Amino acid sequence: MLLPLASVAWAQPEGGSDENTFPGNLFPKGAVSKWSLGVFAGPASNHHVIDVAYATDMKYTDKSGYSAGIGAAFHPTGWFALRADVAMVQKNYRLDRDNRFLSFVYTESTNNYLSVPVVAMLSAGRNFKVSGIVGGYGGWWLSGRREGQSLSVSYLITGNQGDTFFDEEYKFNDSRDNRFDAGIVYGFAAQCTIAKKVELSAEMRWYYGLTDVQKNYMTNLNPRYNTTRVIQFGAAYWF
Amino acid sequence: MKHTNIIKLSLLIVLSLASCRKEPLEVTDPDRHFCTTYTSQFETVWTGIDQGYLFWDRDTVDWDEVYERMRPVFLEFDKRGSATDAQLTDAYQSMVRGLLDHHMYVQVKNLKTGNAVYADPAWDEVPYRDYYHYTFFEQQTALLATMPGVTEYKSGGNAFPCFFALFPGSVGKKIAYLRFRSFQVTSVANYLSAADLAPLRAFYGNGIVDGVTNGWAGRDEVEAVIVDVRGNGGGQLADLKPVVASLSASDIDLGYTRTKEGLGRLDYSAWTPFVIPCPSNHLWGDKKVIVLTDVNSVSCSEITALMVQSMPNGTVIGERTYGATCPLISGGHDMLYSGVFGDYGRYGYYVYTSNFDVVDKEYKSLEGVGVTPDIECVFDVNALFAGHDNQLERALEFIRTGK
Repeated sequence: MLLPLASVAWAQPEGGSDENTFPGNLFPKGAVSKWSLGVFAGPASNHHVIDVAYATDMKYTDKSGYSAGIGAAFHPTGWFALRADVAMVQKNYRLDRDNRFLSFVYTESTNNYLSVPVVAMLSAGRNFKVSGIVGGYGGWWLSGRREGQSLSVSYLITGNQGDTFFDEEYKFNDSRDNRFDAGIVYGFAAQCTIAKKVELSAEMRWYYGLTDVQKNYMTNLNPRYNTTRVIQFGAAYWF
Repeated sequence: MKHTNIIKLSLLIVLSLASCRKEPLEVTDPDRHFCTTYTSQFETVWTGIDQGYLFWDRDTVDWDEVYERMRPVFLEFDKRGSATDAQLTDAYQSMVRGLLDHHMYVQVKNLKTGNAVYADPAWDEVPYRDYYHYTFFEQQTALLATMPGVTEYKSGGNAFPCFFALFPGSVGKKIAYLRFRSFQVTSVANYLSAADLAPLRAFYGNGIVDGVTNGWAGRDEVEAVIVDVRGNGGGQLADLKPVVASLSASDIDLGYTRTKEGLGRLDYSAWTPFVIPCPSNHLWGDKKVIVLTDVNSVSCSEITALMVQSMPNGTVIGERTYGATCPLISGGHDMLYSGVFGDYGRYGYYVYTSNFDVVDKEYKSLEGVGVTPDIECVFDVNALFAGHDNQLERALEFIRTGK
């Protein structure tokens, strides 16, 4: 993620105006670079938000994944940048059964989302900068996989837990699964300029889903949301 | 100052959007709910089926429409302060009409009369099949001992109605015949008397629950077996391995099963293989296995038919079965949030319903349809009362002639 971009504006020696000056005069006059491109990748951790109601032995826990993508940023001023990414973000979770008869039962869900976050980055600093990130994202649930153990009829007959395993590509249910994903993005970043036009960055951001992962297909449906925390390491090139 | 305002505005927008998630609903447990009105009974039963019913992915009933249509009926009962048993039965039958689950029945206590009323979606379908008939278990089994060439006839006691016989087969061979009223073999084997178990032991030997051992099944002179599940209402899944899989030369792969995995109608677990292993000590080999079915063959009887149909040496003869092919475990709602819920004695309602979906290897379900026999032979009641069991005779003919 091109986080770095936002910050680089100040580093350019020529041009610019007072418009580029952040309160406190952290940015020098003269920023000329307006665009940057970058790549990023890093680990992700997803929290699946659901109220299980009386099904209290269903325990959803966070599961790790990854995030990776490319992005472009536009820097109209020294302290502000507008950035758009195209990212693959995994929103995984695990379901365990806290039940003495079903303690072996679990499902690990791996979900791949193509996300397009558009964020504003507000930066401060010089060679080393910090930035606040806020914006929104839209996305699409591309694919999924489910792996685990389930109570099966074979297990009831044989008592053999070997009959309970599954590992399969998730087949979307058009009635249930809402593959459109949207929400807000927020976070912060740190950037460091290592060459004239190259900047490295580390960023933590949260994808806070506002769309239920289920369609509104039944009357009494408890919503499900994803909140995904990603840590991204990236590099950006300034034009 | 302008920049500061932009930051403040951004934060305000973000915080406002963050509150846009829908709040969770208040969801009551339909398994344990004291109901003091007809309407609350209805809503509890409706909710339990809404959350735990297994076939919402393919059932054609519009369950939300059912709620809108039927709730006023129960409100009217409450307004009047009473409903007759017939009115309550009609209301619940109308509620579940068309549901696919052929295991399902709803039992509700009439708050006014104190009587139990029942509703059963299969009852709107099965009796209307053109080959439907009542079960003639007693008449058919009474005829058994008198059929031509029968030897080694044995019958169990009333505790576990069970029958065994040998019929003449090809030259020098015999055909074994086994019939029991329900799949309770693995449980009754531990406490019934030797006399009660005589038919089972005659075929399987003394180690019944271990599969075929030293009974007639292990003898070379027996060329085939007819497992008669006509009128058999089902029973324990545990029977399928020793009673049926022991007649296969290899493990039986029926397809896949799954359960619910949440309270949403379409929250399902993944599919897991439905494989029933063949006991390692079986002695049956590749001899013929015939299952005799009728419209009153239900649940485990139907899985038995599926198992035999999947065997290279197996044939199903008779009628298309009842259509309750997806099993259940009692008390399942506590574990699987699907299946049987309620307690008639305590809460005044009880719903019996499946909690394991079963499909074949092509993910085709037979729930509500039943198992279609390889050789159709419709029951002839007139023949029975003239001294002929036409379906059993057809099975014997098939074994003897191969046609």
